[in-house]
Amino acid sequence: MENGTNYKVRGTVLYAFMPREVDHHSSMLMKDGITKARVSTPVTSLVFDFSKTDFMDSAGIGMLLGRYKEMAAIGGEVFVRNTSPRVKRILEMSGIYRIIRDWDGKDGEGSR
Amino acid sequence: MGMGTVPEERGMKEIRNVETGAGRTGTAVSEVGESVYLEFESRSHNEQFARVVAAVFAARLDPTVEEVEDLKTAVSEAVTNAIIHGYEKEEGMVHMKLTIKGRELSVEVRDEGVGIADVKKAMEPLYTSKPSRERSGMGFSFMEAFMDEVWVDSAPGRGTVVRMVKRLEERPVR
Repeated sequence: MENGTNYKVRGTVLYAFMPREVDHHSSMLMKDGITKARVSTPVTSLVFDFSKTDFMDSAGIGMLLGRYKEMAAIGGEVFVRNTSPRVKRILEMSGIYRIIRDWDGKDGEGSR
Repeated sequence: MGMGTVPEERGMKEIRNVETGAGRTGTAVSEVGESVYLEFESRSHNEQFARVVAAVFAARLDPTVEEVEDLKTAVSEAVTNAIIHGYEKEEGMVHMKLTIKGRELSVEVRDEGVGIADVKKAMEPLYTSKPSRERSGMGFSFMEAFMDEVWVDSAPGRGTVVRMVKRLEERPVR
C-alpha cells in the first residue's frame, strides 16, 4: 500500500515507518497496526521513522500521544527520527518534544 | 454600481496578458476573483482529497512551498473536524468553497452535522470533546497558526461553517 505504514522489530525496539501523509485517516490505521505489532513482541521502545513523511496534521499528534500513553504505562519510551523540517515544525508547535525525544544516533540504523 | 463593475457583477474573471522577457506570455488573475466549490462524503480518505484540491487551486497564485503546506494543514484540520465531530454518528456531505481574490485565498468548510454549543471553548488549545478518540485538541490552534484569519459559525443541530483566509506573499508576475 503506497500510503501504508511498515513495521520492524529489532530486539525490544519497534520501528514504525510512517506513511507519506500522517492525517486522521492514516493515523487510525497506524494505531491498529502498532497495537498488533506490540502484541506479538515485548517492546520497550517505540521509534517513529518519518523518512517518507511530508505531511502531518494534529491527528498525527493525537496518535503519537496515544502511543506515548500506552508505552509510558509499561515504563517504555517513544522516539521520533528522520523528521523533515515541516514535520519537525508541527512536532515543535504541539509541544510533544517535552515527552518524546529524537532517536538520532541511538543505533547504527541511520537514515534510510 | 457603475458601468465599470460589470465583469464583477457577472462573476467573470478578468485575465490580463503580460509580456515577459524572452517572448513568453503569462497571465495574471485580476482583483475580481474566482471560486471553486467541492462537495464530498464525510469519509476519512476524503481528507487527503480535499487538501490536494485546495493545493491545486492555490497553485494559480504561484504560492511558496510553505504557503501550500500551511494551507493543506489548515484544510485538513477543518475537514477532519467536519468528518469526525460534525458527522459523528452518521454520514453526511462536506462542502468546501475556495476563493481567490488578488493574493488572498479564502477557504470555507461547511457541514450540516451536530454543530458546536460553545465555539469559544472548542477553539481553546488542547480542548477536545472526544478524549477517548486520541484527538490532540490542536485542530483550531493549527488553523489559526497557519492562516491569517479563522472564523467559526456554529450552533447545536445547525451544522458548522469554518472560514479561513490566507494572504499570500506578493510574487513577481512571470
